Amino acid sequence: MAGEPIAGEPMAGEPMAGEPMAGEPMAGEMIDTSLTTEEVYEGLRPICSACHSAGLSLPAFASLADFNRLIVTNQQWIVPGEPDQSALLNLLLGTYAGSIYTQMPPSGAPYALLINEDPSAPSIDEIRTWIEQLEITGEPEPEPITCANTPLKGAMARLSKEEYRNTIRDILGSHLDPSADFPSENESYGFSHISTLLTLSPLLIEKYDLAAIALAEEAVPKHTRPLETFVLEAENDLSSTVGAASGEYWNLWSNGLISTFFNPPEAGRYEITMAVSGGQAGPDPVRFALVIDGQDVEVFESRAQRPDRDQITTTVNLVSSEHEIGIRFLNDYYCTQERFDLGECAGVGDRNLLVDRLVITGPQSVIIPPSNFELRYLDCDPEQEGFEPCARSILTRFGRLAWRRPLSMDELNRLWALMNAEVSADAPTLNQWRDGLRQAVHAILLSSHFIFRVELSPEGTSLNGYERASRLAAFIWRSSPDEALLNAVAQGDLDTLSGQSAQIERMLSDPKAQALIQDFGGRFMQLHHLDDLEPDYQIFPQFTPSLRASMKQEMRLALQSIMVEERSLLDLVNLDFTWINQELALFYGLEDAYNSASGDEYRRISLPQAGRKGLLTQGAWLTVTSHPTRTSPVLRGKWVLENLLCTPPPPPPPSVEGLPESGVDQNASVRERLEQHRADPACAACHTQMDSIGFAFESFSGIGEFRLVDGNDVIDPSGILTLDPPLSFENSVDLVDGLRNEPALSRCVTERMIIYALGRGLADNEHCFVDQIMTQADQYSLQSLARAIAGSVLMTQQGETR
Amino acid sequence: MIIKTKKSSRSLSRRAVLRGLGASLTLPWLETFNAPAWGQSMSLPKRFFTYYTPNGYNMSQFWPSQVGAITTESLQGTALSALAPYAQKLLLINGLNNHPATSQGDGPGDHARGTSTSLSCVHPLKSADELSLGTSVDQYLATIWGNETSIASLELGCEGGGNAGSCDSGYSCAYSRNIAWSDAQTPLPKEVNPRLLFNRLFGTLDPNQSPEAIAERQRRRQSVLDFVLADAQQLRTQVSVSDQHRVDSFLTGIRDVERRLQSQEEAQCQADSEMPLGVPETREAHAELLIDLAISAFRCDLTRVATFMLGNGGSNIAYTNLGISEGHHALSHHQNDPIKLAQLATIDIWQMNIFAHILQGLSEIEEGDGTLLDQCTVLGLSEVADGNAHRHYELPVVLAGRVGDLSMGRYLDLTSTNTQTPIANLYLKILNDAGSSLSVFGDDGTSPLNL
Repeated sequence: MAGEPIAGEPMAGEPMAGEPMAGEPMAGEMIDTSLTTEEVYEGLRPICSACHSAGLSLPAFASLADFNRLIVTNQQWIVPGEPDQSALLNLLLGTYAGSIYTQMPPSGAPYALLINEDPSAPSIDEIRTWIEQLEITGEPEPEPITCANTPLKGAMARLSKEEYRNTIRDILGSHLDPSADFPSENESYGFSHISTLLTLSPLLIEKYDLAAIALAEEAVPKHTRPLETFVLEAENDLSSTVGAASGEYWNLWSNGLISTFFNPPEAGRYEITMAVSGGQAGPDPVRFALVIDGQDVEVFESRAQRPDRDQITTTVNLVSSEHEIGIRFLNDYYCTQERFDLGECAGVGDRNLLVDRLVITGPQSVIIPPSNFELRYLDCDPEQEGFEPCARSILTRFGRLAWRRPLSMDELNRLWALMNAEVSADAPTLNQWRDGLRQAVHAILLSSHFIFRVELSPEGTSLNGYERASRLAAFIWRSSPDEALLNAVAQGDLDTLSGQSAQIERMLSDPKAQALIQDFGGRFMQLHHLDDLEPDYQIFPQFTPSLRASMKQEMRLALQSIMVEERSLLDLVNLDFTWINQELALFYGLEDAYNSASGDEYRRISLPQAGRKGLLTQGAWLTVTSHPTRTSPVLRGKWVLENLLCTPPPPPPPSVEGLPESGVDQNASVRERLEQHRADPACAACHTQMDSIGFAFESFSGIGEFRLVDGNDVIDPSGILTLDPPLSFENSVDLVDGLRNEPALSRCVTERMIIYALGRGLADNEHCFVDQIMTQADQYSLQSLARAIAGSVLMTQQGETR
Repeated sequence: MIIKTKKSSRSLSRRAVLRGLGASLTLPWLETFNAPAWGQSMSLPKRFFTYYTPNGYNMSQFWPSQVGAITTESLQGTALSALAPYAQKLLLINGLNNHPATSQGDGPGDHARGTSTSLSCVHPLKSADELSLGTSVDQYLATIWGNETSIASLELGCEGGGNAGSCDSGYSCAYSRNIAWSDAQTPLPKEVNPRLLFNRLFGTLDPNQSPEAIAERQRRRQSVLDFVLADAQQLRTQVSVSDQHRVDSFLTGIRDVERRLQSQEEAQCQADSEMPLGVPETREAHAELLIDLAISAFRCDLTRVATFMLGNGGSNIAYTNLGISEGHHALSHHQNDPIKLAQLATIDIWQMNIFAHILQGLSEIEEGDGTLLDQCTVLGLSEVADGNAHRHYELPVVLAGRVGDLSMGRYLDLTSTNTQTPIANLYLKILNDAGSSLSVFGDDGTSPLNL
């Protein structure tokens, strides 16, 4: 009998844990040729791990512990002492008669064939013996996956590109988007804010610096510009309807205006020097007004008598557009001897205004409308209230928003010192103070406290209120906390369940919470990849930039509806309506339902119609899961397994990747060709599931157009999925209805959203947190899931390094 | 002989002249706007340029038809035919392997593995969210030479993120998008936009500003950097060991900004081209613009190390400009279909035309008694050899310029002998040429390549 001890061949390797200790031998078992569990595991691993390694479905070969788990599950994978009852052995022999594991062994290829390729693999007999021996020797109790009490500690995250953009929008009201110039983030799980991947390169830091400079200049714009001087000679540059040139002057001999048009380089204060003289006569000196845009803005007098000359200076505010600037003579006087004799005037003479030139110098200080930063934070007058108190008030408020916590006294002191270095001790000016403030804003935005979401609470303890607020804002808004949230923290509101709930509700109803559905949902559906794709324009001439934009909008509106109506996220799979415009109505063949006569805006259309129902029948998803020239049933099927059921199929071995085009009938349909290729057992194991899903969506072309035929072949979208119980379907509408009711779907979507919230993947022993969140999620609406996740210890506790 | 002489950009800034003449002029003004003068006593600086292309090559039409001296004839009909003018400056070695890129039990993911391993020769950790690799050869060189230039290294490429689909089989996108890694956890992302690259290299100095204004601006920026450095150093003491690594990366970045700030005082060399407006439509124009700017940066000694990725690992871009509508990655799984192989050969030739463009650019700049090409190790490679089988052996490696003291102009075929060698040994050779005393590199580099 196999397993009988053979003298002279001592067992290699160390005794298994749980086995008798050395020196305490059990009778009859000192020498044994049967393999240990570890040896069986190591022997089978090279063959089995292709489909059963970490992250794939049934990851029994991810580790020895995982393999050990096959022994204790109640599914009779390995029944100690009963090899013939053990599903594993039957699967390997091809004698498995059950209905669940239909994919094993790969297309019936007997295990014997597989081990031919690897002589170091254990033989069937050795495996049989090992299972028999299991009962006799008593394998160690494998460690079950326990529930962790505390979450795993994630890496300290920096702001992702998206978070940076949203944060500066929210805390600065900036019109700039410097993050557009940042390098792309590395995605995982489809998301772009996985904390371990948010690495820092010198290139990124350099861009942070440039961004902070630009943002600081926008926040605290410079009020000084280089001075310019414009000399306007009256006799050459100005014009008048009265008088005449007279040497270097223009002689206004009766009341009237001499003016010109002037376009200041910038809005601001300008100094205007008027060089004038007079022909004085009568009792009063020459009187004239400075005229801007028809208005007499100021009246002056001059007693200068030619050839003497007055230089009269004043300042005016000018906006940066063309202005008529000039001088109006106000008090013409003309007294002839004849009129004097009649007593009509006070003395003989002719009073004239002589204008030499206008000299405009400026801008002395620029007039700029206050920036959003100034409107929000500059709530004191530094010249009235003092430079330092006003600065500290601004830095306290803005710093708290930027660093997502109050600044320490030391930090404030250092920021003020940085500012104050720009202000002259002897002759401080407002402009210097502003230079300093700009410096401080630059420093705040380049600081590690802005760039990183810092969490300093000790491991395993509750995060402090500010840290929790930052996590909430990142999760719900993909941004930073607002003042209301930070105030709630300061008042201790976030330390009570009711206070925390109130904030979460407020945040969810804020328009910024659109980020939650659009970033989570959009990335989940790979919507952003639609921009990267270039379907072949000869095969798909309909795919115009406009159609692409309409497809994006269709999905965005569907996502938005789910949130607004607080419907279950799972409904997206078989959503019974969509939002389409006229272009999509024509493309989808939904003209009748859409009714173009009443305009071409996006309208809600009930589904199913025209073969469509749910996000997987929208053009956007159908296009991103296709090749540039054709559909890919494999990509579509793989996406569904991986993202909706969380059972990713193992990737293909390298030499078989892609659809072979030689060696198969070139006239066959995609379905037939894939079926031919599935005749190869190495492919069949994994392709059975993927392909049947993919075939259901063959009713849609590589850009999502509905079709009944592919080339000359009639499309058969029916199929069966080997789930438990099996799911059979006639077409894609059938399939999505079935998927909606799959229990795996709700868990898969919940896990994805937790990953989105935490910015990290989940450890095996964190599954109980997922269970708990699932019990709290009411119908899996976005809001209820967000509430459950936000309140979970996953979010509120500082994790532990394990 | 030194052709180029030092000129202050402030005395005659190219932009100031452009402004005077109207900005639409295109100017071959190299002789006016010049590179640093390498004094007779100084040895010329060495450079390193990597040209990475994704998805491997059609290996049946890659290598020269004859071993030994490379000639125009032996290159004819191969992917390398465009390199004929530089035959004497090439070194072709068939039989360099990158064993760390093989699966070693990790299953599929060869594009991610091959790409991340191509310059690091360290087997990567297969993970969606943990990064563990090793320092790449270009970054060793950047550490050796970087203190002498204002930018330690340039990482460039035509594809940033968005590889139109997911990244490779269970590997984080970081692995298939980056060949330059400053340490095991830190990939160095690429600059994709030529306009931003131009500004980074040449756009920081406003020639109209007075020296006083520039000094004032530098003082201000420095005081902010001092604040930020102090801040981060304090933070470093408060966070966990693994997070300290992140703060360290931040500190390194800030110190790099600081160094650049200090060296801007001396920046006076100008680009060969005007400021690009953005990303050109065609991949070819895009690539050549980035490459030209990198070469300008070499000429001006702003940096001595550059890596360029034509696409990300496993890129599925469709080269419709070559009349090929199938994506490149899909095509690379050619299944020996002659039509697909022919299309791949077309892409290969096109990719090597761009390589020739690099060699041309480098050889047009005179330095010392020769050209910049003589001072530069140019390395062309891909993440796999044949894309159909994802082979990491007998890699399509094209060397040009200088490779230590190895004599150039040769094609060596190691495949028939038993002397196949880790590509890591080539990197050791390059590192030793740069003065490094490293004796091991990556997982399998044990002795400098000697041929």
